[in-house]
Amino acid sequence: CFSNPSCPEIKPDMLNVHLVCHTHDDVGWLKTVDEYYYGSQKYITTVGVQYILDSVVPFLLKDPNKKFIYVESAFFFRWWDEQGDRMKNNVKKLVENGQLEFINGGWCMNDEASTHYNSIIDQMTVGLVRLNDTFGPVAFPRIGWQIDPFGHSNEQASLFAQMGMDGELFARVDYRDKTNRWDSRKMEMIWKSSHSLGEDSWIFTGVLPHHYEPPSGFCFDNQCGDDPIMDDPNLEDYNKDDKVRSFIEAANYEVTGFISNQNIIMTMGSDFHYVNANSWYKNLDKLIKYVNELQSNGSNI
Amino acid sequence: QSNGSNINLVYSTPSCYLDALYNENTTWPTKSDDFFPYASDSHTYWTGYFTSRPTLKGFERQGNNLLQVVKQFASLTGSDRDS
Repeated sequence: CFSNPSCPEIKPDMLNVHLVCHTHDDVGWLKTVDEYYYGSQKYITTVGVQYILDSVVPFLLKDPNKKFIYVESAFFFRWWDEQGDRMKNNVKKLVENGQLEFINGGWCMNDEASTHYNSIIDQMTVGLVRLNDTFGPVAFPRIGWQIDPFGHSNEQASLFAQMGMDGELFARVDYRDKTNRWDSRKMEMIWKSSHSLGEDSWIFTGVLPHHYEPPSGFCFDNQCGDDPIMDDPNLEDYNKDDKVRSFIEAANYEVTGFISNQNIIMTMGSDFHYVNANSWYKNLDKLIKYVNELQSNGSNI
Repeated sequence: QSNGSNINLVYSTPSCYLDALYNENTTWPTKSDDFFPYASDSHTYWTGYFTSRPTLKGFERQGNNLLQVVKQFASLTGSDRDS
């Protein structure tokens, strides 16, 4: 399998927090697919997927450390087809160097309860073939990303395994199941998803820690109510020390639910986030800087 | 108060996260049944959508049948090939 060449350096003696910048773009829900794409019908919701991709790409081009994942091929290719050669070449570079990673990659993130396996294969194929035709094997998604479907089927996991995925991540499991898993550090597991296929159907499966959203207080999208990081001590609303302290608390809490004490994941995004990518990336840049500064300096907060 | 933190914050992706976990050489618990039904809270079982909009659900299944037929005919007549 293709490995992402831009993966961050992991410090083995520390708790590495993987910030995953993502946008959950429903392929039709409160608005139609095309209304969501353009951002029309603003009385329902103002978001438009075209602006998300427009907004994120320049940030990735400017800073090789920044990453973004994209999931729904139905939206991606509406956008791709509108781009000129220069933009297409830039995006190809971002895919090749791993800054823009396709996850799931099907035409949509399909339901798992009412879908026929035949249709699931067809819809995944439509997205994956288009990705392959456009970017080559470098773009092949390694993760089944089912963050929003309401429950999860063995067959879906088995299909992902048979498609060559290394893992599946999702958010919605029964609330008591989640509590039990958290308390016994079983949020992540190997799912032996098919009795007939055996080992070919085994797939790493993870329940995400905080639905598919950031921990409380760290939602920096324009749509969110949380404060930005205000780091000028001369200004009235200075909150840097509080933010850093509560982030460290959130990370130390999350690690209690998972087996690993070296690596945890935080999903930094939600429904149709990153229409203004700056409000996310600017604050994440500050968060990364100030939290990591404490490694060497020692904290006095 | 405390002296230094042991937290390393990085921009990452799900595949980079999985690679990092893989390199730890952990033994994972296993599971072999499904994640249904989904309840987000007490008295909140998301099972109504198994049957909601039955006509639309029927159309999708019929559409799937037709699509398979069309694919087979296209294959037999060679019209699935790029010109």
